[in-house]
Amino acid sequence: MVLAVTSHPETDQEGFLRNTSDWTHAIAQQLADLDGITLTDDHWQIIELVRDYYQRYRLFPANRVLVTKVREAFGESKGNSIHLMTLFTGKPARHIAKIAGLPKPPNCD
Amino acid sequence: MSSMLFVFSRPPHGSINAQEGLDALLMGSAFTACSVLFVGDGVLQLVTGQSTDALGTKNFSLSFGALKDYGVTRIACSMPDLLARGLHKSDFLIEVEPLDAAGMQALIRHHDKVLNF
Amino acid sequence: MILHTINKVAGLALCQHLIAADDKVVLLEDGVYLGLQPLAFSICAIRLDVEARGLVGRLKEPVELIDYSDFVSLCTEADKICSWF
Repeated sequence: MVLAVTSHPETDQEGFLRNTSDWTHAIAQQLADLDGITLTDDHWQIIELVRDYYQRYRLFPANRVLVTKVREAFGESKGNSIHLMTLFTGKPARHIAKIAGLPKPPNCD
Repeated sequence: MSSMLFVFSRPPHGSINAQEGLDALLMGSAFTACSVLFVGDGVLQLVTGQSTDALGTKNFSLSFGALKDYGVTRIACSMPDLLARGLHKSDFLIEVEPLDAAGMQALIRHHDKVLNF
Repeated sequence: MILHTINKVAGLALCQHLIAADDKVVLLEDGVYLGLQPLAFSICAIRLDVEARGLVGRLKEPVELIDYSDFVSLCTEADKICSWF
């Protein structure tokens, strides 16, 4: 599938969107491509959950909180660090935040 | 592991103290049992309807809603400081336990470390 | 024993309800000006800070003047220390 790339939202040096409001599904796909991640339904579940959490609390959930929230929403098989690490190549917080168009979480390398 | 009581005593947007206290609390809650007590102008951090978009800063007051997710044990505030500002529990973004002087002194006694922000 | 330190006049408003009867309070830096008003609890003030501000003999009873070595002893005796600033 070829995505028509019509907009190039501004990002910082590390590739995080400068403006959360620039985010669209197409831009998420672009950002994921840059990190070498192909988005599946499993990815979108997490991205939507984290965006919802941020919208509600202006907070990127700490890993243990994220795992709990994913477990509550999607069950035991997905509510664990391994699932998140597998989907988002070993650095879940960084990749999820970037693809979800959110600011870089504190303490993520 | 020692338990920690975070005391939030500054109004929300005039200085970085409030935001830093919240960051420290969220961080600390990963390591040990943490509670929070709002005193003085710190109770103003909790009022509903804060809107900082035009100011260009993050509206971290919404983050108090996540304290339960982070396992923060007790969320309390000073009843006298609440009354002195003409506020009521219903003015707050989240469920908070108002304490009188004796209640607050007991809360301090029951924690190993007390940090003021 | 819980030790409260206050280093600004405004610090008292934060902790006035938090000080229990058997707690100890030390005034330091600009907090020593609180010794000019009658206080409901017994307190100590750092002598050097009191002298620097010309407050010797002007503080209300029962403010007890202490040196840094006394302050260190109080800190080591305390179960926990709360700083109000």
